[in-house]
Amino acid sequence: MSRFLSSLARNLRSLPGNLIGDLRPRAGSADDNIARRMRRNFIYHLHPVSVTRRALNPLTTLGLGVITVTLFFVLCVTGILLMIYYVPTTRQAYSSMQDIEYAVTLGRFVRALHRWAAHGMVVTVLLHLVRVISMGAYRGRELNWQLGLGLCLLMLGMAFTGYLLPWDQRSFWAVSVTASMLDGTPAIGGAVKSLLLGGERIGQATLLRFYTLHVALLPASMLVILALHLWRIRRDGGLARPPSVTGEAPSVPAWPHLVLREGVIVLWVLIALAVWAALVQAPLGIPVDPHTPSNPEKAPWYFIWIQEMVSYSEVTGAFVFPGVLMTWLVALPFVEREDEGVGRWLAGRSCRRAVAVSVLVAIGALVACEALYIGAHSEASPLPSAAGWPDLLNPSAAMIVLAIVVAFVSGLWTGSTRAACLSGFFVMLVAMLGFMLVGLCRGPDWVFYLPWEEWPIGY
Amino acid sequence: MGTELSGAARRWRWLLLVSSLVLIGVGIWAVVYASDGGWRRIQRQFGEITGAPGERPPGILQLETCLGSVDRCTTCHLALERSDLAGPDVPLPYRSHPLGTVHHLKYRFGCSVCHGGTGRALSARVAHSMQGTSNRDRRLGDPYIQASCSRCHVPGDKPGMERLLSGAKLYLELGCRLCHPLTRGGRGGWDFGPDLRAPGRKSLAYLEASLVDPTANFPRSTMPSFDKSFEDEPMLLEDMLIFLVSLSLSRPEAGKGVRHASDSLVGAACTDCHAGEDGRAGGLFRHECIYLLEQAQHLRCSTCHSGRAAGEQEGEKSCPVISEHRRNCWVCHDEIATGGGP
Repeated sequence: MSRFLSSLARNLRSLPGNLIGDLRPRAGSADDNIARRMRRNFIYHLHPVSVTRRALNPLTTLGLGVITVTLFFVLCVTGILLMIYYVPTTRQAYSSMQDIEYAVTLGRFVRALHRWAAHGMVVTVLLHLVRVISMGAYRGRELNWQLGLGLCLLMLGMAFTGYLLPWDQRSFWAVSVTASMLDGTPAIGGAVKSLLLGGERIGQATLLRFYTLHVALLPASMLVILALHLWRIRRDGGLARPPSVTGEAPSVPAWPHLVLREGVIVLWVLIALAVWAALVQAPLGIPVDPHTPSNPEKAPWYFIWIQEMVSYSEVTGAFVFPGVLMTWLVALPFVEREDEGVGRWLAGRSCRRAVAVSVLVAIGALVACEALYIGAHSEASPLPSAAGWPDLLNPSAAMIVLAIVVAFVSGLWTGSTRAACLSGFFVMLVAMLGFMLVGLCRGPDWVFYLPWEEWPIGY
Repeated sequence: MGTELSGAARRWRWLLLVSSLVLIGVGIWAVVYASDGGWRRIQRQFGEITGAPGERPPGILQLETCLGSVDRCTTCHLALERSDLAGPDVPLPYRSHPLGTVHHLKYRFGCSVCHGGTGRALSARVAHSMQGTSNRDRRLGDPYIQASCSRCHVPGDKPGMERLLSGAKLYLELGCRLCHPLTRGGRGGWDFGPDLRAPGRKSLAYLEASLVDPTANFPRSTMPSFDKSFEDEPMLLEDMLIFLVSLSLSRPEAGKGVRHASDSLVGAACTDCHAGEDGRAGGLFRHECIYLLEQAQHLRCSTCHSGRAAGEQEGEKSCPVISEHRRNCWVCHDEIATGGGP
């Protein structure tokens, strides 16, 4: 009896020490170092054991990949929290959004985190893509490049499906207008649209489909491809680096040097996001009215460049331009196989100059095209009317032609396939951003208004 | 190289620690900043007013209305159905509801169906704003609350909506419908003014300016100024505004016009037999009155026809269309002869 009591007392006394000690992974009989490594094996799986000193420099990647992954996990966590309250039925979706926004403890904050992280992710993914292209970092990483493009498309799908879920006037009509862009895609457009919407119009079937895609199918696919994407970085020998550094053995242990830096980036992304989400609410518009479209009906900003092009011509806007852009990106690592300059920003004088000239030419051409096109379609302008113009004579078609011409000219001028491919890509990038800006300036009846011009009464 | 790197690692370790502390601090700040507990303070003060300060605050209160909506207004407006806190001496939000509309309270229509605002919100600023906007809802109190009556009643149908009726008469009298018809496509009108049923986002000041000086808000406007009409009687201007506000309101549960509304509120299915092509009033006894047709979205059969379902009638002869209709026509036709009424 007394032995029982004394041993019980002894065990309870040593509880604080044992609580921590017993839960630790046991150091094996081998030396302690290995045990410590095993504890960190998750990190070792993500990273090579050693990296080059170059990988530690923040300017090498600008941390864009780390930021994107951070935002993705913020989206997963906040998304799961939102799922607890959200009801994907047309009758209750908006009400449940109001509950999240107004009544649920911290619901507004979690929703703002989700919304702004999503918008941030669209931006960082685009920047990441531009960074990888500019450095030629797809070279020797062909598979990972394709995986990255897949992730980019999945992310756009997430953004698109998530946009409908609040079921307010803005989201309803934005998705409705984006879905109607599919009408411009020949042959399969109609079938894809009815598969996506579950009918001819947006309704309960659409909401449920978008919800399932948004919370299950797309994130699961993204998680798998993301894991492959990160794994391939290690398999491909770490970050892309210039040939001069290739010979240098990776000498710096990833732990602690690289991991600490990434940790700091992650924390500051979270800090910035928390401040932003606390200060700026995620918008929740007026309740949906399926009978009264708002005028203008606008797609979300990351799709508005397509909508702008569709307003010129359905074929070039919804099919040719995105098709050429995607083909260009998919084919890039196979068409362009130069090893020189990989891992440096627009390496080589001629490449840098070619891209700079192409960007300037593209901006000039875009402004000229838009001025001509908008002018010819406005009643007040002195330009001849565009009434008789063929459908294909429009700024988006012009920019595609320009991209191909610029790519050839720049290739002939510099003699480099990289300069050619990059010049063409940057022309299309300028076109994308330009159409986005013009689309944002569109007012009622898709008329162009400068930002300081007043829209007519009643809108 | 080794010492240089280990020095850097130590610095990054410190940076990581500092960043973590900043994140924790920012997290706490964000949580405090983003939570809005104004209603708790109001509930505590209510205890002091009613002389029961120790009483446990009731927490979030909500009313699930018969229309399927949820109103949380009673979280702060705690005394709506009490009789001892009536009158203008009692400060808001603790005042009880005027009993003129006790009928509505009994049927649990809720608050936002008449008063607008965002019924599910708990912060006063959002709750008193129109859904999804930051504009204060005008229908929170007199006289604009009269606009809400038109959601279920024809103007003049019941006492207490005189200002709305006056505005509706002005609309006909001043010829507004020539440019701003209430049917799409403009039944005989020119239809080049903005749709009056969609001014919900505009402020009252904006609407008022548009009536008095249409070019104030939109320089290219060709609308004539109506300031002479309202010069002598500023009350009429407000009546007009009440009517304008009423136009942007939908029927509760609206969606299919007359039929849906009458079904949901009265249980009658008049338009099963009497429906026009688009579900509006018409069919066998097609309405010729332009005002009725223009207002089809706002009316239900029972506003004029006593709300009895066909099955309850004894025979065709007792169908109340003719007599009831005539009796209610005075609403528009007693003094002014506008449109092609019966």
